[in-house]
Amino acid sequence: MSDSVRIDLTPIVRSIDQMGQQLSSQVSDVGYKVGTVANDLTVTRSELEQLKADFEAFVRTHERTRLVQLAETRLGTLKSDLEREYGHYGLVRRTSVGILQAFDIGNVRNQTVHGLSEELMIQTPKYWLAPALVALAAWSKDDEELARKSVEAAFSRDPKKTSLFFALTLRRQARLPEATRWLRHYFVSLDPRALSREFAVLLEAVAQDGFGAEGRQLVVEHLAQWRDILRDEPEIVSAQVHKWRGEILNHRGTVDDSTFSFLAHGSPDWPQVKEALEHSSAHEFVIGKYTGVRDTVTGLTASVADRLDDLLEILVSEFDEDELPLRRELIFQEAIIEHDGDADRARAAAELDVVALDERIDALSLQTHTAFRPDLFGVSAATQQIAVGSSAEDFLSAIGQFSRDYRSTWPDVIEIVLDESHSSHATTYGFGQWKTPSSASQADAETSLNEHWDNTMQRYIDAETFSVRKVVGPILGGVGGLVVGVLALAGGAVVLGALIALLALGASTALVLRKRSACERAVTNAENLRDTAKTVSIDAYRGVSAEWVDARLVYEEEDAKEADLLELIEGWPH
Amino acid sequence: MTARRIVRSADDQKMKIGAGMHTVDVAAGRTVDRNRRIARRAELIEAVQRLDTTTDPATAEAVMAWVEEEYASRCGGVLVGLFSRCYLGAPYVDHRLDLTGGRILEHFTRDQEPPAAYRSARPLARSAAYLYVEVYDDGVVVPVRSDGRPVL
Repeated sequence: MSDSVRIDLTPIVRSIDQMGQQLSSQVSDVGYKVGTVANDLTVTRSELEQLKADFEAFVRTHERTRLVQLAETRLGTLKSDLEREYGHYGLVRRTSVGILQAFDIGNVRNQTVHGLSEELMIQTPKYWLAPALVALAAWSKDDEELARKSVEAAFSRDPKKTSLFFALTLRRQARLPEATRWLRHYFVSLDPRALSREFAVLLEAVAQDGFGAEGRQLVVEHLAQWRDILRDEPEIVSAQVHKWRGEILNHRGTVDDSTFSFLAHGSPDWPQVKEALEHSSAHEFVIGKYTGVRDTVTGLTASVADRLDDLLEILVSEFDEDELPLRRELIFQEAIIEHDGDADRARAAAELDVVALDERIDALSLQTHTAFRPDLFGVSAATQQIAVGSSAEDFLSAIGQFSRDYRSTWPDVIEIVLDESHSSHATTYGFGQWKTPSSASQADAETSLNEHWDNTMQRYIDAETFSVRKVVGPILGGVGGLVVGVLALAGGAVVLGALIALLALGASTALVLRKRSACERAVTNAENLRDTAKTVSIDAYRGVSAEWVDARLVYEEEDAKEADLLELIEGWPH
Repeated sequence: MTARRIVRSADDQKMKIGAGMHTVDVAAGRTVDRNRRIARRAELIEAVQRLDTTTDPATAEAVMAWVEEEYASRCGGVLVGLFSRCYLGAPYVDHRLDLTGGRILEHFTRDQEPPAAYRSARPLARSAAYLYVEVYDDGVVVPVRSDGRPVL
């Protein structure tokens, strides 16, 4: 019997090899899965960003739609409130013009008119027009005492409107001296800094030649005198220019980010560019509106009586102060609908218009607001045309200031910035941020962008290249296993020691090899994708650059329309 | 009434000195403002345009002196200088005619920043709508159209 012991390690080595292969295949599998997960993560991140953007866009649209629907509902309620609370005034209003026309024809008995007006007097307490109608009826049957009493009652309820009403009525009945007396009476009570809204009827009367030559002269003289007084106060004049700027601003268009999508994502200066673009677009819209106003045909109707009836109708239907709070709210809701739920723009537009519904307004402001929205005073396009002509000086100043202000913000050069979100490669390889001024030549910018990508890729490759540091763990594990194996061998546990040592050596080698091949693959991938990544980024840069050129062209075109607008207002017919 | 309203926005010290003084201040301010709004004469516009094309230093100096005098006689406030596009060609894009320390005509390239007083005038001078931009010592910057009308 020999002392020597022969140990056949072949099966052990084989099984270690097998284990090594198995481990290697599993590690490779894990490596592949990690790679897939990393890729999925990049895709998920970009999808998530897209989803976030879509969601935010949806929320915005939804909010605007909600506001529009809400405004429509409120508008309906407000209109029915107006009808319910002040609808009965309508009957008195219709009756007043009806009575005058009945007088013309002479087919209604005095008794009927009298009865009807007395009835209205009882039904509409506090309303100035009811006693005025009783006075008309009393006048028709020569009851001087009743007429005087009723005129006094109407006058005490609303002296200004009563004066105007009788001035118009007497003019209608061809009692010119009396009509002018009432008109003078009316003017005496006025403060040009605090007119009430019915003064717009006077502007309309001038446009419609409602007071005859004498009356017209009286109004024109007063207007000219007030104008001189008010225009001497810079605060009042600058307030008019400010209002006109508001009117121009309200006409600016909207630039959607999607029409300049590269620029919107590729330049931090985009908000500034977008705002200036929107502002410059206002000229064309303002030209559109005021060309329409200028070209509206406004011939006088032949009959003086008809024109006066129209004036009376405006006077009695548009200017009752009790209704103003509801009408102001109405303006805001209408603005929300008109501006498609854009609350900020609606508020700005409504704030401008709502002044027209103030109880007191100075003569210049009244004219300015008549030029924007004659409908808020119930006056015609003819009055609007005159109002625009009278405000031309302020309108021109406002156009100048408005254009100057947005021009001072228009950048000569913008910064083009590509960050990691501009492409999935940039996200994967840690692109960081690259920027260039738009003034740089395309060649220089693209060279710099290529260099930035080279640096990015180099950093990535350096980080991914195989080195011992990356496999310190498996090596230490292997060495540890080897030490344990050797110790076991020394301790006499030959089989176990050898087994441990071999196992440690095999596993460690397999892991190191695996890591090396993963690193090599990552580096090769990066090198293969370098050109594609560069192309994607260069396309993005060119996209921003081209859209900046487009934006400048659009801006120049829109901006140049200031001259057309100035020409339109300078040549406004007087 | 007018004096009181203005005093409220000025500092208290001034208010104590007396309302009469402010009436004068306000009136003077309004006169300056009114003068500033008057269109620039065609001769002035022509002189400013000539500055850009004059190469002879003596002629340029004479034109600048004339422009300075013209502005002084307008009584539209103290002018720091004028800023406008430059047609010298690359690399210059704009220039200033400074009237504060003697008369200096200085050209700037796109990358050069003009002195602080002129910075807000630069984007306006770029606009084709204006011929040049006036810079006043009260900080007001007034672009002037080629027909001589100021934008205020």
